[in-house]
Amino acid sequence: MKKNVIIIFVICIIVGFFISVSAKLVDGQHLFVSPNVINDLQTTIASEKTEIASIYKLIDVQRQELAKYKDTYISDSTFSAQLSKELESYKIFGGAIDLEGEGVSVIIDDGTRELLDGEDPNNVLVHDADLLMVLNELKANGAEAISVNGQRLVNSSEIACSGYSVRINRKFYARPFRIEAIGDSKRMAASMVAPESYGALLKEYGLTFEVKISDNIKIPKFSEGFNYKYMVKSNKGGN
Amino acid sequence: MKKYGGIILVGFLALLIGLVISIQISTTQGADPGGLIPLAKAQGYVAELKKVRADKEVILEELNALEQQLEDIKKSKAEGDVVSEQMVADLEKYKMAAGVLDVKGPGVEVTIDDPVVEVLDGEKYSVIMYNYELLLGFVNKLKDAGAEAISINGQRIITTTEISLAGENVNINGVPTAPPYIIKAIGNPDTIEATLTIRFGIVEQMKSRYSLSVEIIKSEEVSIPRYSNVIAYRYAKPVKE
Repeated sequence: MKKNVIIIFVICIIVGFFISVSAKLVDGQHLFVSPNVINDLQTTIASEKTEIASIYKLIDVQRQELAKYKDTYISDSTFSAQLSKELESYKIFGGAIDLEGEGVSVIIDDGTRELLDGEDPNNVLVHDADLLMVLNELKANGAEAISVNGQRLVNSSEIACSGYSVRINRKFYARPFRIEAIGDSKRMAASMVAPESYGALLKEYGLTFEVKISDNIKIPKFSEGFNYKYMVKSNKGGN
Repeated sequence: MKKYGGIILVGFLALLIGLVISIQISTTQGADPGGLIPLAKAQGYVAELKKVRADKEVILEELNALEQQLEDIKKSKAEGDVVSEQMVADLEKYKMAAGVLDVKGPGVEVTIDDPVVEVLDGEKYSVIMYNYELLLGFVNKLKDAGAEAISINGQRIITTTEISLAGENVNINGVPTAPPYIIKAIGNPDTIEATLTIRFGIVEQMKSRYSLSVEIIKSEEVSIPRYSNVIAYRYAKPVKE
């Protein structure tokens, strides 16, 4: 009898041990994820859905275009007129045509104030990162075409700080920096002078930052050719 | 009494073990396991994402087919007319410049992700999202290294592309994005890699100052999608001569 009790006791302990082990396994970190993962997934799903909506819009545009061209009775002159119109619009988007329209001009220059004791002189100098942030704000507020010191910004335009000068479209420029942007002038100007804007921060550091609204901003075309060495057209999209 | 002693003991033990088990299980399935979310829920989202991406593929194919059809029509109509033929050829060139064509070529693929150890105090916090100027700087460095086409998480970078913090997300081309950031660039892979990884350069800064993980892979063929919104300028007009 006593022997039986001992056996049962031992078995119970073993069973209890196994149960606790299995419960621990369930508690393993592999089965839980942080809220960040969920948030990121949700954002990515939302972004793909936005993409789908815009692709549907593109499909609509293509259908309309197709309808225009598909007409078998389309005359040669209409065809070439359509073609040149389409060509012009892509030249505009690509940066191959001089543009004009309402917009803003922004002048950024180094600060002229005296430095504080031991202050880093960089605080009153304009850097490429400053220009990037200001340009980014303009783009976020609907700028359609932008030039910096007369250089039209295209898809591949870099703004690179190199010593005393800044390189834009492989050409060198020095201060002051004159940014011109065509778009909704009021909206862009408001974003430039808003208290939380990057321009306000630059002013706080003592840099010169001036914004002017203009009815007629002229932006020259990209002066280099559009010759690509590495990229070729592909028929499948990548992600 | 002695006869039942063993049974009582066993009964007691069984009770105790039962109690331990129930405590174990209730801790495991606690309502709030340290702000964590069951994997099953995440898997649900992963499945949804997969489905949405498959849907996107399908409609992208439709779009590509339409474009191809349109192009064929233009080409066949333009045939024999030198001026029109030239225009059709130019059209492709400027479409490429505008960023509305899918492109491929040699280049690099960079993956930027948040540090593994995060500031976790109930708030979600993403280093790379709150320091989105790093992405801006990164793109600029890529252009400086001669990149011809760039995309971030499938968003083609064109002249008007903004990278801005909107609420809790970073919007690129108006589309919300989340880490990990996969940046693709077409250009000379060696030049681009060398520019990025220069000492005290942007990658080193991202790693040492922000503890981000940055992985650069050079590739013989990188595919970059087109800008997928309709472009329409309302303010900018061609200068009339």
